[in-house]
Amino acid sequence: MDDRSSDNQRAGANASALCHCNAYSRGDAPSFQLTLWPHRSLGRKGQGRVLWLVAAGLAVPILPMLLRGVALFMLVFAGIAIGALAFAFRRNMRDGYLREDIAIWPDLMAVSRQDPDGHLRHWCAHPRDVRLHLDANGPPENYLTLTGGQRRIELGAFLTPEERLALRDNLDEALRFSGLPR
Amino acid sequence: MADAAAHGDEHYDTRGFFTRWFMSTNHKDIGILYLFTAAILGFVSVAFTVYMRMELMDPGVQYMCAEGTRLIAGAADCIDPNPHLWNVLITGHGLLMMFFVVIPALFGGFGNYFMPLMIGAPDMAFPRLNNLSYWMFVAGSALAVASLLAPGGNGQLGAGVGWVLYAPLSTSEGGFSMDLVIFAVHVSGASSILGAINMITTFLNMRAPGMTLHKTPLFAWSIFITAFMILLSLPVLAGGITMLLTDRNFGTCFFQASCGGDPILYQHILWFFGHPEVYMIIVPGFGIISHVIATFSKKPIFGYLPMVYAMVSIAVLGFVVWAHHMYTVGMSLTQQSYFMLATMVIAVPTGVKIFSWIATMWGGSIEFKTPMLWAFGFLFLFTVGGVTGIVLAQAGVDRAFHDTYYVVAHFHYVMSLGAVFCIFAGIYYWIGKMSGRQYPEWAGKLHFWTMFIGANVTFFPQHFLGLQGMPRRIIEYPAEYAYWNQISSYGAFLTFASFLFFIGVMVYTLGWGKKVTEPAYWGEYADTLEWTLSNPPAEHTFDILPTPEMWDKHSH
Repeated sequence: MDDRSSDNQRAGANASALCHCNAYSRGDAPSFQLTLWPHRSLGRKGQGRVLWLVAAGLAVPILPMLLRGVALFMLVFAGIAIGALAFAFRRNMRDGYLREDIAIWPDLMAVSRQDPDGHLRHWCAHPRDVRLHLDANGPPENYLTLTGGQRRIELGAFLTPEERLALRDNLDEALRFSGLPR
Repeated sequence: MADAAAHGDEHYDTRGFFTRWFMSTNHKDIGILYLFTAAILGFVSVAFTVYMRMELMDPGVQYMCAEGTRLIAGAADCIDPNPHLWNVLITGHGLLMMFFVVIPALFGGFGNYFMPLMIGAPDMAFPRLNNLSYWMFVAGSALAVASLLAPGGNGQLGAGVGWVLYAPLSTSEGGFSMDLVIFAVHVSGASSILGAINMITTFLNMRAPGMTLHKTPLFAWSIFITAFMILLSLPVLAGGITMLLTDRNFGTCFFQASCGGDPILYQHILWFFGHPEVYMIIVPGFGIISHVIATFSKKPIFGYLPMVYAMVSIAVLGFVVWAHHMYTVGMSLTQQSYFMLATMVIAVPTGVKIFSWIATMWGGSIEFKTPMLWAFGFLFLFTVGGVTGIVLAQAGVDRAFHDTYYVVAHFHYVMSLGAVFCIFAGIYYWIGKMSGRQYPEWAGKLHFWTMFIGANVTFFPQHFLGLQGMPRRIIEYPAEYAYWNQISSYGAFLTFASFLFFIGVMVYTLGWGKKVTEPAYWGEYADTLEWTLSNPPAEHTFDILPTPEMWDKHSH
């Protein structure tokens, strides 16, 4: 989670993501803006290094076995293990290509979500109508949902429970003060 | 928008017992499942040892008779002893403990529950894969238990080849019990590899922003290192036992000497996995002990970075010392010298760890709460096991000690008194966090002292038996060994009694224990992220975001 409210002047750049609710045609910057995404701590380079390390480690027992011509099964299982790890890294990174953009104007709250496959979804409501719901027990724990627009949506399902709690407080404050002149 | 608000309140936890526990994708629930399953299998495995110690209490065979297995000794010894049953029991005990009890408890149980919490990850990287790992572990355990009851060698039930499954014993064992053992190891191995991949991805990729590798708590590190060892060694074992399987069923000749195979090759493969395996068992324990000692000495852990890199080097060295398990198979002098020296090098990083734990306690305000007692017991007894390890590492000395009770005493000191003490330390340390209820302090202490005395009385005399030359894996022995065997058996019964008492303590704690509401109920030196959460974490909320200050309280 990252607070980008200091980047208000860049609101226009996100306009297409908020198109559904006439948010794109607005000239004014939102009073509150936030982008949520799942955190990933290991870069692509790091992943490559880990995979090479695993390959080197697996080669230690398998090379002498190769010389004796009995390494077939070991190669198969080592291949499966390293392939599964590479797949897991890719999948985990792909799961991380997820964005939730939240913007609040005095008369409009817009949320757009970009899924890992690029699919875009939008939601909007008048801030006055928006209600935040936090279910402590979940699942998942501290499940955060918004109502007030056409449908109920969840927010930050990929964050830690603590982060969702903080997000609720941030949004709550932003919604309360959205109508006030800045 | 009154209806929208009403709509929002519909979301609450409607999961039934079955959905919550059988289809769980929550890392905490899965961790608890691992702990309970490991406890049940541990009970089975410990029950075997009690029966074995009953048999070994006196020379001659009183219980495991071919004419009928007895639970109460008859007036006279058996007419016809049944060593196959004995062999099945030692195999079952070893297999269950090595694959299905200790690793699932430490790595699967505590690792799943606390590693994501400590690094500030929302859950494991792949929650459903986590569920699959757990159920594959259950399937593997079921296969292992089934193998005990399936037709095996000598026209009886079960495979009696020892947990190491040495060829050609395992290639010629009759029945399909042995095949079930191989499948059991395969399935649990696959489960461990999937679990390890999940842990590695979580640890590397899902740490909270700002938590660099050198700030990650030691327990999370220990789980990561264990996962790496699993990933590197289990494919080798899987290959080896697949070759065993084809030797048994498809007429290949990898290990069967009668058709040109090499049984020593199997030993190399097994121990290339097997030696890292013993470190996989103990390294998560190192992590737990570090936190416990720091908490109850009221000091940050001494030498955080050396502690991390000591674990890394123990793991690396663990892969290059395997043949010290097989000095007597006819290796060249050079090979034996190498494995001997490499083995002794491991004492260096282990010494760094022991030194750092002692230095953590030095000048600290030590409080002997139950988890600290277990950690203290671990520290002392693991060191004793390490010292006999140095003795056994000598290739020359090992000529005399190979396959004697000295070896049995050694590895039970590092594992039964090492790893199992770590499990108990972890349980008493975290049970308030996991259940929201605290055990009665006197009961934890009584459990510790009975087990400490019982386990020492069990295993210390086995050093003497080994020095006298008593071979391991025998059902019967000459009367000269009777004295220490009897004492050892008394110790085993005391240990078993302490285990039963522990089960009672757990039932009481989970049902009626005193509620703990304070998140960091062990004081401010329990400073990893799980201590900022309520007890248990899933049921309540708390109001601060994990920030660097929270895990940096006592900067490493």
